Amino acid sequence: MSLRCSELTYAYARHGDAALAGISAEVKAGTLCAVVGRNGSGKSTMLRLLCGIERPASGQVTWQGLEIGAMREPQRAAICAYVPQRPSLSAAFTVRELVSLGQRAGARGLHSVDSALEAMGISHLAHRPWHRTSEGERVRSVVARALVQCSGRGLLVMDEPFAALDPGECARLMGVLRDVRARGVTVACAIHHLGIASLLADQVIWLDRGRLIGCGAAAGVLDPAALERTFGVPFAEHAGQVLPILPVERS
Amino acid sequence: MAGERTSVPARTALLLALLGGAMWLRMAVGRDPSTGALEWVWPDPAIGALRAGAMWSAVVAGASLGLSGLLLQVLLRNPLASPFVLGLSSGAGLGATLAAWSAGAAGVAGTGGWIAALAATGAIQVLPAMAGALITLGIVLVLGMRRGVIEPVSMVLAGTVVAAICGAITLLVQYAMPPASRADAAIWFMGRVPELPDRAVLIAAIAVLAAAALWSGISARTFDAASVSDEEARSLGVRLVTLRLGMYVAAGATAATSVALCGPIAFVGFVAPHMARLLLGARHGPLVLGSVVAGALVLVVADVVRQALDLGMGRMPVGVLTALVGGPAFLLVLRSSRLAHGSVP
Repeated sequence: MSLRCSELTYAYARHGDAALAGISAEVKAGTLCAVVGRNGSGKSTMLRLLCGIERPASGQVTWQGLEIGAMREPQRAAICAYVPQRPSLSAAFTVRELVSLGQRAGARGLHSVDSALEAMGISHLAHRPWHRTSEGERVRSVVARALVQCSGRGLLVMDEPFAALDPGECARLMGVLRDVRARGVTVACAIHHLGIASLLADQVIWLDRGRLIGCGAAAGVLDPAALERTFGVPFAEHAGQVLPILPVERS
Repeated sequence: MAGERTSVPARTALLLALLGGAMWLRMAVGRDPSTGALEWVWPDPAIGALRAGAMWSAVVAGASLGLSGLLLQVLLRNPLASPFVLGLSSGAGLGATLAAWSAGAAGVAGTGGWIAALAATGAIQVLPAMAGALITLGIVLVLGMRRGVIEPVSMVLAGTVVAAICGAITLLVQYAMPPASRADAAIWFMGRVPELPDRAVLIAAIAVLAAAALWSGISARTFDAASVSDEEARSLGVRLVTLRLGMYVAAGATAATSVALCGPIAFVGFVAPHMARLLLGARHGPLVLGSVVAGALVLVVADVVRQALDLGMGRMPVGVLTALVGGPAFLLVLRSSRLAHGSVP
């Protein structure tokens, strides 16, 4: 019972360089895995391969022994919900109409449309046109859609959902993800904010230039010295979180 | 929301009632043959048959254009898309003109066998129009994409230029026709509602419209899910390749039958889906029926207005009128939408 990827390789046709090279990792069912790394390290590509909306050049992703990329779209949608980094919409839907798209996957989701809106704190926006909401509110509505789509013992793949959220909303989303995990869902989530990753993740996959440079329990992988070598700024532990110490420029 | 939801059927009924009223007007409005004065009476059977021919042609062609416009707007995620703007109408017009010219050259009327059989089913008019529409749409799709991403404004520009090229070739072919049929062909190319539609073409158009509308109605919830980005749509279980192929064929076929019936009529396919959205909201279930009804309504009303206007120049092609009204509406959407930022409203 796990999400497993073996020898994953992926290259974008126009660049030639491998976006991912030989990634093998396993995420236990019902756990939360943070995918971390610098900008352009291959996190988003990795997530798209994990949920099967892109096929790897070689290697494979399996969910409970079945290859995700080989499934037909409706079957895959019943297993795996996806939250992109930059959601987009061409129809003039309201927030509620967008969230209710999660119902079409067919499986009985963890949340109804109303409870998902409430869980993400956007009930008051339900009838507002999606285009007239802020970036953070858009991300929250797409997370709500994923909560409607996602069934217990399913898979939830999210690309930087915390990036556009204020601290209060980050805390709310952390609570939602803990609840989802407690209900048996396996979560794979790209997270730039390493403080959040260190508080939330059971496991961390650390990518750099398309290669796996760390995989395991958060406490072991997110080592301040190793992080400093990669990111070029010092890190320190505070209240259970690994936080960057950003330089203070004085005039 | 509950109020809005219950009002969707009521608003659809209103649209249908308006269409009924417009159809009645198209039957009743006419001109006294001797004095030329405008009259509002139910016609005698002989004139009634002519008006019914025009009315049903306008209903079927308008409905086909409305559906084609909606499908193109969903397919291309572009509120500016319509069969006329993207060059489908011109492509279909070129196909139909080439077929008419070659049939004239080969003297189809006198020949028997398979050509006559094709003509009897309407296929000889409809199939070349479909081929023209689908080839044009294919070319515009390729020209309007950069690295697999649709660029709404590039696509409209590509459509405009392809339409101009198709129009030029059509005029060239018309020039090669005998002078007697040249004037007819020129008026047809401006878009006109025939009082004596070719029965086989009308039946073919009804069949294509029914099949396309049925498929669109069944697929409407998938259209909803396809309104998000490609990767999100795939994650929601949408089989994008199959869906887009269906939209491409249905949009091309309905545009083509409307052209075979009435010639390339401007902007009905653009205005109808926007009208339906204003009344019925953004969900595609109500929008499919709404666009079909709104398309029929727009073209029938335009034909009534054309009938009522007498500029002393004889019968004005209805396409002139729809372009005069639809063109400014297009510019309004172009100005107000977020296309400048590459996204759509």
